[in-house]
Formats: sequence, structure tokens, C-alpha cells
Amino acid sequence: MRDWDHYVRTHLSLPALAREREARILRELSSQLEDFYREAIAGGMTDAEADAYARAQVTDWPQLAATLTDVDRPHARGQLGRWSDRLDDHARETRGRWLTVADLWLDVRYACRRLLAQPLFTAVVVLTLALGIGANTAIFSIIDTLLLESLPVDRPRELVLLNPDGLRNGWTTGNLTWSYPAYRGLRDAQRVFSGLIAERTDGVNLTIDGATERATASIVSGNYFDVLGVRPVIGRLLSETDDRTRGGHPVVVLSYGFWVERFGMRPEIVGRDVRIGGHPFSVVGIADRHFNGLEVGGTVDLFVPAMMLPQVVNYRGALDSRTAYIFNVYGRLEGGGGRAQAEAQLRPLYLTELEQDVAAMAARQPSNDRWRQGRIVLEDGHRGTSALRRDLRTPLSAVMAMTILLLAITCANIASLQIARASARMKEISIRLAIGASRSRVVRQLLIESAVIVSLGAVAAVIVADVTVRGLLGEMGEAANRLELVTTFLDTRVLIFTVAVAGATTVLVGLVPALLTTRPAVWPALRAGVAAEIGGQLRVRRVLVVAQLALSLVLVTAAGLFGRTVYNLRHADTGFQTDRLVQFQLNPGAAGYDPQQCVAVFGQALDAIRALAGVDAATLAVAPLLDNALIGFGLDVEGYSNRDSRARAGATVVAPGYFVMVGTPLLRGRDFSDADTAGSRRVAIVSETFMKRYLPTVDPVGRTITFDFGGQKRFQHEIVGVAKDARLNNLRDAPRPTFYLPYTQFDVLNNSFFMVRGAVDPSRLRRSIEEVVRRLDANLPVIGYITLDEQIDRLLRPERLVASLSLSFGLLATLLGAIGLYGVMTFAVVRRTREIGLRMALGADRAAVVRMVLRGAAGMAVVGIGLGSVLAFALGRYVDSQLYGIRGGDLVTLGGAAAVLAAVVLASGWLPARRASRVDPMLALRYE
Amino acid sequence: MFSAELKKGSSEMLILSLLEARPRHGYEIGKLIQARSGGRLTFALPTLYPTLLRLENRGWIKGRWIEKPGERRRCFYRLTPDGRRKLVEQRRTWEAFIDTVKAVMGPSRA
Repeated sequence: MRDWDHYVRTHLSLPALAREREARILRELSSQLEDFYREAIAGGMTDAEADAYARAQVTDWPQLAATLTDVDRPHARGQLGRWSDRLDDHARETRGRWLTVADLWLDVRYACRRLLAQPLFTAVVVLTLALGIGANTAIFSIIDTLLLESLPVDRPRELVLLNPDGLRNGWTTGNLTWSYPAYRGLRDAQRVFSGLIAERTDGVNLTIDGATERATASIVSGNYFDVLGVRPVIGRLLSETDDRTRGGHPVVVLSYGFWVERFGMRPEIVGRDVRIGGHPFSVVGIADRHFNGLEVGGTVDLFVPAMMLPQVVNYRGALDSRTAYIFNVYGRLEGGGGRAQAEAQLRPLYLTELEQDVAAMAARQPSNDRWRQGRIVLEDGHRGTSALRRDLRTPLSAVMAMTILLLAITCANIASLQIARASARMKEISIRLAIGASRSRVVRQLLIESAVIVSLGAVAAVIVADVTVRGLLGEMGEAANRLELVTTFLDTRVLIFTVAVAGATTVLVGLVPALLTTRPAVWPALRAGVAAEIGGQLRVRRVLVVAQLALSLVLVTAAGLFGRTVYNLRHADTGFQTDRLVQFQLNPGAAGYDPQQCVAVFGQALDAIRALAGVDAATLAVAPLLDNALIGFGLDVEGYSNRDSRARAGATVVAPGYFVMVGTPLLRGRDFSDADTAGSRRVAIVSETFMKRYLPTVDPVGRTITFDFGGQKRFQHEIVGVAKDARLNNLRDAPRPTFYLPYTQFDVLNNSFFMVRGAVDPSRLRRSIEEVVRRLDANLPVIGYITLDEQIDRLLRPERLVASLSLSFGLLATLLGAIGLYGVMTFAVVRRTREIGLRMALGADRAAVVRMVLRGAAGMAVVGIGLGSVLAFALGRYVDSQLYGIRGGDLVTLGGAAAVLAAVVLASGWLPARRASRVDPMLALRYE
Repeated sequence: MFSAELKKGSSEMLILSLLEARPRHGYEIGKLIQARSGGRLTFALPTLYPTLLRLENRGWIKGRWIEKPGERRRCFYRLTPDGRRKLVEQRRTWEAFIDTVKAVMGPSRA
């Protein structure tokens, strides 16, 4: 016997050809030589003669090699292929055949073929994955941008926010904790930071080509852009030279987003003149694309030097007042460390400034001892500040939790499907194992199949994520539009996240079935018709379905809870009537009016609007309804004394007839009237809660309240009435002590909101109102026109977002659970066909069979719903704070969700049950 | 017995026609040609095999490794639909060629 393989291989090599081609050719030649050899032996030759005969068939091996290479040129391979071969050889030598490129490629191709052969299964799995992974990616990208990402500035970790400890002043809101003189004083004296910047945000009147509109401006110190390390796209940015003289630097920088949205990226806008607050400014540049100020999720249109603050907001003393706390201050701490040390070094410097501030407050010094210690707390500044973040933090976490649940359900579903598919291939797999394929090789092939399908799913998921992000941003309002322009949501980090999730899913979804179906105990399945081992897999699938049902119940319950919350909020008693009500703002202060002129023009506007056809009533209030806009005041109340804390209340400024118009009844005393003017005795109306808290035992009417606006002057108003509580700020907060002032007696009046109730279509009404206002002053824009229903919708945005998301998730989860259940039930029925046939032959009727099958489904449902209920009840606690009018452990909602799920289980189990009842006993008993 | 040029022109057609009836393996094809021609036509392995590969690369035949009971694994070749069409076409051409040559040469004189 001759080893012809070896013979041919030593004489012939075809390096230019693909490995498989070469191997095939060699094999075939050796096969033919062996045929010649055998023929000779059969013909009677000796072994040596036959050997020589066969060998004589090919004498010129090099020539043959050349001919074959020439013929097989189409299969020749390039450099990459030869290089891959070298890798493979090396792998084979060192690790056996486990991980060769050629084998992997074979597996991938095989996997693709198999998946294409079952298009429905592949489509369902890819779709399921796309939705599960896509939703996760979308939520994560939003969370990443809003909560996690740093500002697009140089070395953001070095930025810190300076917050005087314990500062709770009657006249500051939010983080604005610095007066301008204190900031400048500190900046000049300190050496702790390499840069100290101040900024604040204001709405301003922007006039371009004669048309006035509202814009958001960031008022910043000269070194703002330098310290942050932001660069211009066109022109230049603000610098220290723009920060020297008050009113002497009429320059403005546009934000990139504003430039795109408003000016369509036309470069000619740089160098043009505009008017801000009525004063001329020159546009000098456009800021970097990704930079949107220090408020994440906010919109900044313009950057204006701090020296121009009095011009832009028409508040003349802004830069000189030691008691107006109007700036945020950030510092850059080189190297990023040493905060404790920095705080210690800052303290004496800040105390100097603090003393001057306090001296300016004179009689109204705050009793806040903590603040007077002069400690400055340095907080992380690398993510800026964000109102959007604050609003969305809790809901987003809840939503993220839900998407993770959904992904878990998705994986469970797919794992179950994979098990089903794998067990259908039991025979093939066990044959391969029996012949000698290594278990790891088969597992690897199954894993690769999972990898291919998950990769397809991941690609589809990116598409789904993109669509979802856009949809979610749409729900988040106008701020989100700008966000979309300047931020890339689906960036590298997000893609890495997607790939990581996809990878984890592959392992989960591929490994379990792969290991299950390649257990050595499985090999005897060669003979078995319906392998008994599949019973073990059925149990696993049942467990998966139960898990899915449990998680689905949690999601459906969440949907119910949030849905009811939105409903409750919408129908909450606000204390006033919201139907047919519209609201808008006029800001004459920004157009240069002084307070008396404002009062006059407001009066004229009210008269003109009331005269419009279709208008039932009109009034004004400085604080708009349901916009978290009450102005906080610390005040003295006659008859109330408390050493530990001063009285505090929210205030709004209204016109006579406000209470009637808005629908808030007066409980005592009288409303404001036209007799309450700037010259007459100053009056005020307080709310029910105000009365209960500060004047519980005496009649408030006749008492005085005293307050100030942070300056020397103090105002005394006599209480003339008590109004019922109204939720003016938002729908959730319990009513707080509130007081109302007449607009004619409000000394710093410069803008106000107007409420109009009319039987007219809102857009027609808008045009009429704009016309009326334009006739009064063409420079006065009507700002923020909105119906109160829209305002409520806007207010409820986070809740609505969460509700709609949880509803979609709940639906999707239920659908997936139904599919999983249907699959398992069908499989179980097929498996028990014989038993069913037997039963029917013995007299069981169809109904009994259906009942029997449904009992199986019911069993899984009971366990799943039971587990899910426990889980939902336990998790309900965590979302209590987000709900309204309902507790997280609400049993009615839970019961409803359970009923829905039970119905779904019944529906999806019914079809297999019906199929079972149609079993023909004769066929079944023969079934094998 | 016949010159290389003569053989070259017809080798592909011969192989195709032999596969018309049923699939065969390389060794079998060579032996069949020899047998049917009474030994006058032989194709050595270094000529036959590359031709088979060439035909396969053109898509006219397709090789498959088959293990018949009681035998070794061999590569059996069969005609593809393209190959069938090609065979019909080549036969026609060949016969036309023969007729043309005969016509030109005229009847032979004994």
C-alpha cells in the first residue's frame, strides 16, 4: 500500500492557490493515482510494478503545477489570504484546530446560510433584539448626554462651582449666589484659581432688521471663553478687553445652535449690527459648535459681556449692587485637586467681600449664621448646571430600569427560541458529536450563530436608537431641539455601549442553549425519535416564560401607575379654572420702560384686550400660572414673631379682578380695585395657607406685611383680603404661603404675564392680541403665547414621557411574553401528541383536552403573575415620589395588570390548545 | 495516434459528452475515452485533469466528493445546465465543421 497523498504532496505544491483548492486538487490527484495503482494490481502486476505504473502517469510535476495554477487562476488568492494562511498554520501548530481564520469564516458562512433558511425566525429575533437593544442605547445616550457627560470645554474636571455655604437669601433663587462687586473683589485678590469666571442667563429683547424677538443671553465675564478654552468658529469670542468699562463694549457672540437655527449658517451675520434691549451691539463671532453655555440642556443664543448687563436687561444698578446676588461663579483649579486647601485659602478673601455685602444690606441683615462664617464650598463644575437634568434625573433612572427589564425579557425570549431551534437540530448535532467533532467546536459554531444574529440585531438597534432618540427629544420640548443640533447623541461611547450589550446578549442567548444541547447525555438521541432529553429543555423554557411573565407584569403595572399619575395630574384641583385660558408675556422693561411707564402700558393693554370681540375677561399677573415662577420673599408679618426663622412666602403681582377672572374665590375681605394706585395706601392679599401659618388665630385683614427687594427701601402693605389656595407654581406641590400685590403698587415692575379667557379660537385670538399690542408699541413683542392646556402639557412632560415609555415597554414585554408562551405551549402539545391521542381514544372529549392544555398555560401564568406581583409591589416603593394621587403599591393597578396578562396568556395558549383538540387519535397513536 | 492539435480541439467536447449519460470521476473518464476509441485516443493525467478543472471553473461541470458504498471517496463530475447547452452547441459546431471539411475536400478517390 502506498500513501499516494503523501506522494503527491511531496511532488506538487500550489502556493498561489487558495488553501482549500490546493487541498482538493492534491486529494483528487492522489485518488486518481491510487486508481491507476489498483488497476495495475488487478491486472496482475507486482506491487513494485504497479507502483511504477502509477508514478509514470505524471512525470513533469513542475509543468503540471504551472498548468494547474494557470487554469485555476480565478481561485488564486491575494496577499491577505496568504497571510491569513500563515496565521492558521501557526494556530494549528500551537493550539490545534480550535481557532483558525478559515474555520471561523466557514462557521460564519454556515450560520448565515442557516439563518437565511429560516427567514421568519431570523426576522423575529432580529426585530426583538433591535427593539430591546435599541431602546437601551437610546435611553443610555440621553442619560449619558444629560447626566454623565462633561462640558465640551478644556479639561472640564478642573472646573468648580463656587457656592457660599448656607446661602439662603430672600432675594436669590437657584445657584445665583454672587453679587458682581464681590466677584470682582475675589477675582482680583485670589491666586487659587488660574481663572475665575462669572455668568448668568437672561431673556433679552433682540432686534434684527427692525423686528424684535425674545432671545436667551448668557451674560459673562470677559475671561469666560479663555478660561473655558472654547474657540470660535467664525470671527472672535469675548475676551478680557471686552470687560473694562461699563457700557463700553457693545459686542455680542452668537451660539452655534442659534446661528444655525436663526441665521441658517450664513457667515454675513458676523460684523452686523443688532439691538439688544434697545441698545446697539455688533456681532463679532460664532462660538464653537458643541458649546452651549454652562447649562446642559438649556439653550443659549447670545453671549454678552458682563459690562453690558445694565444695557441688556435695563437694570441700571446691576453691576454695582452689593445686595443683588445675580451671578454664578466658576473657577478653574489647575491640576484638578486640592479642594480643601483651596477652600481654606479662599475663606479670608471671601469674608472681606462678605462683610462689604452685609454692610450694604444694613437693616436687613440675614440672621443666617452659617453663611456669615464665610465658607465657600467648591462643587463639581465639569457638568455645568442643568435644570433639565434636575427635572429628568428621577424619571430617567426609572426609565432606564425599565429598559433593562425589557432587555432581560428580550434575552429570555430569544434564549427560549434558540433552545427550541437547537433541539430541532438535536439529531444533526449529536451525529456530529458522535463522529468526533469536539464539543467546543460545536458550541463555537452555535455561539457564532448567536453572534451573527445579535450583530444583525445590533445594526438594526442603532437605527431604532436613532429614531427613538429623536422621538424622546421631541417629547422633551424646545430645549431638546437645540440639544439635537449641537450634540451628537449616538457617539462612540454609545456605540461601544451597544456593542457591549450585544456581546453580553450573545453570551447569554447563545451559551445556554449551546451548552444544553451538547451535553454528552444528549448523544444517545441518535436513536430516539423524540428525545426525552428535550424534556429538560422544556423545563428551562417554561422557567424562562415564567420569568418573562413576571417582568412583564412589573412593566405593565408601571404603565398603569404612571398613566394614572398623568390622569390625576391633569385633573388635579389647581384652585383656579383653566378652560379657555391663554397666557402670554410683555416685557416693556427690556425695551427701556421704567416702572411707571410699565404700569401705564399694562393698563392700556388690558383695556384694549378686554375690548376685543370674543374676550370674556383679561387680567395680568407677574408670575405666570403653572410655570414655577412665584417670586420668593422673606418678610415680616405683623402679629407673627419667630426668632428662629423669618416668614417666607411666594408672591405675585396682579391686576384688579384677577381672582374673579381666574376663578380663585376670596375667603375674606376684598379684591384690589382701581382705587389702589401708586399714591394710595399700599395693600396686599394673602392666601389661605399664609393665613393658617402666620396668622392662625387673628383676622389677617388689617395687619401689615413688610418686605424689600434686597435694597435699603422697605415696603409696608396692609392686608385687605384672603384668597383660597391655588396651585400657582405647578400641579404637584402643596400650596405654599402666597401673597398678592396690586401691579400699580409694585415698584420694580418691568414685565408681566397676561391671562385672557375667551370664546375665540386661540390662534385667532393671538393675532388680535398681537395687533393690539403692536398698536401700543411696535417694539413690544408678545412673548410665549400659550394656552393653559398646553402649559399643563408642558409641565407634565416628564410624567407623560415616562408614562408613554412604560406603556410601550409594557406592551412590548407582553407581546414577547405571549410569543414565548405560544412557542412553549405548541412545543409541549407536539410532544404530548401521543398522550393526547390516547386520552381521546379512551373517551376524553375535545373540551377536556383543551382544558388540559390550558391548565399548563395557567400554571405558568399563576407562577409568573404571582412572582411579578411580589416584585411589582416591592419595587413600587421606589417610584412613590414620582406618582401623584396613587401609591406605588396600589392594588387596583396591580390587579388590572394581572388581569391583562392573564387575558394575554389565555389568548396565546388558546391556539395550541385548539390544535391539541384537533389531534386525530388514530394518527397520534401511530405517531413516532 | 492523433496529433496534439487535433486532440486539443475536441477534448472538452468529449469530456462533456461522456458526462451526458451520468456523472463520472476523473479516472473513469480517462479510461472510458481510451476504451471507446479502441486505444486510439488517450488523454494522459497531466492533460485530462487540468481540462476537467478548466471546465469546472467555467461552470460547465461540477465536481462533488461522493462516497459510494464499498468504495473510496471520489470526486464525481456532472454536467451543469450550462454545460448541457454548451455540449449541444459544440456538437452542432463539430458536425458542421466535419461537413464543411468534407465538402471542401470533395469525394475521395480510391
